[in-house]
Amino acid sequence: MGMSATTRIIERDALDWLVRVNDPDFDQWDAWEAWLAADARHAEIYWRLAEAEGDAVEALKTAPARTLPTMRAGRGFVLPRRAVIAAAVGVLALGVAWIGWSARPQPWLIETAPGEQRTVTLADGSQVVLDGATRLTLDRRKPRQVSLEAGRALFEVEHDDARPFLVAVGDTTLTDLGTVFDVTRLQDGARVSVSEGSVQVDAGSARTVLNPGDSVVSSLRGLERGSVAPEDVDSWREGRLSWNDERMTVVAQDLGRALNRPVTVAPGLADRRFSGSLTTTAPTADQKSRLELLLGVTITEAGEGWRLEPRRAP
Amino acid sequence: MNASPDIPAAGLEAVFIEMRPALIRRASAMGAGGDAEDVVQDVWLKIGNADGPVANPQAYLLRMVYTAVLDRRRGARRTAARDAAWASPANLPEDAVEPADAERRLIAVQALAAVEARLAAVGDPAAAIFRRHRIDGVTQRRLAEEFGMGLSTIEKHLRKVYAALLDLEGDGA
Repeated sequence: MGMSATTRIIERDALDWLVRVNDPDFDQWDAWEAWLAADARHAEIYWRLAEAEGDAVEALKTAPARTLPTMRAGRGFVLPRRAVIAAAVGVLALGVAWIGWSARPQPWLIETAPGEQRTVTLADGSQVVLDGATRLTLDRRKPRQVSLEAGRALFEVEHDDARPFLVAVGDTTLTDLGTVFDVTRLQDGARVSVSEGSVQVDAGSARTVLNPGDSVVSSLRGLERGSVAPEDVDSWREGRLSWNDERMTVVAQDLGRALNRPVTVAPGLADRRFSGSLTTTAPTADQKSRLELLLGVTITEAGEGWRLEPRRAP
Repeated sequence: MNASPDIPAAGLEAVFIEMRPALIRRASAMGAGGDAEDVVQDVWLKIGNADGPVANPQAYLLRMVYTAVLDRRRGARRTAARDAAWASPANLPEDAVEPADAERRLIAVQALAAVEARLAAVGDPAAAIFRRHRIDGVTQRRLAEEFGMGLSTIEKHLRKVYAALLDLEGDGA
């Protein structure tokens, strides 16, 4: 674009100065002023860059996700929800690298809309894939502790003996022992399935260690171990739900999140077990009859929600 | 100008009064020209809002003068750009009573998205370092400790982000 070599050199010098001047510790004001005064183009180019950089920083400061209260108020916020979430996730991925700089708790909230999936990379390299309608809180001061408030998430944790990765799910605490694992927050507890490595699960007085292919449901009844095909642990990422001898109340909660409608279970069915899998991306009209067939139930509509009931005699 | 004890805001005002002629000279040298006195007046108004004690008042005031000069330049450029847009009939908004707020918000959202995209393109750790530095105001020395890097590496990362944000060629240095 015909820019002269001189201009390019001045730009390079100006950029060097700008990086240094912007440091709060900068104290070479005399030297900087001397450079600025040495040539009229120095000041012109320096300020052009400084102004543009100032604009960029100001724009960044408008990001709503940088403060948690605004995020929580996200539903009523002027920005499209998607933008808020995207900004939150973007900032989060960077944000977790900042741990330890402040004495105050620095909570972060990540939320996905129903039907939306997000992958977040934490500062330590660990990855979290959030399913729809999922809420995860983190604290910048404690990079390896997260809390799953709602929904479902798949963790691929970079193991560190010195700093275990902890996931709080209600009253249950998970400690990774080097791992890929899936966690679902349930109405009265949590479900954990492990595809690689191992996870220690603490729920009050009960404790167990899960290895690949193990799963557990933690609830008021204590810990109930089960098993899972390791390759099914993250199948929900592709829109496929898989269950192996799962209690119907738990199946209903998975369905509720996947279909974005409340799914309840008639008392008579609550403890029935189900094994099988289902693709959740089919059109809704078709979905209902497929579900009835698959689960062996009758589905009645209750407002927005679906209720699973024992199959009626034909 | 080192090793002075933390000076409360009232003391900062005393330092300001003492330094005022020097601050005006500085503002002028920075390019404020005839506006130098106004710039320093801006600083005077702002130090009333200083929260908490200041460790090095001279350095603090110089930084404030610099920021005030920069803010004035940015404000003047924005005004000029806006006037230019309004002076041209083709750019008149179709519905002139449309709330300016919504438009401003939209522009802010777009600006944010553009900056975020460039940061994402540069990637971490450079982008994370930049945010810590420019949003949270952490010094480069402290960033070096936080990120476990040498000071020159921190500077190199920052330079990379600046170059991306400012459309300059990568790293010619």
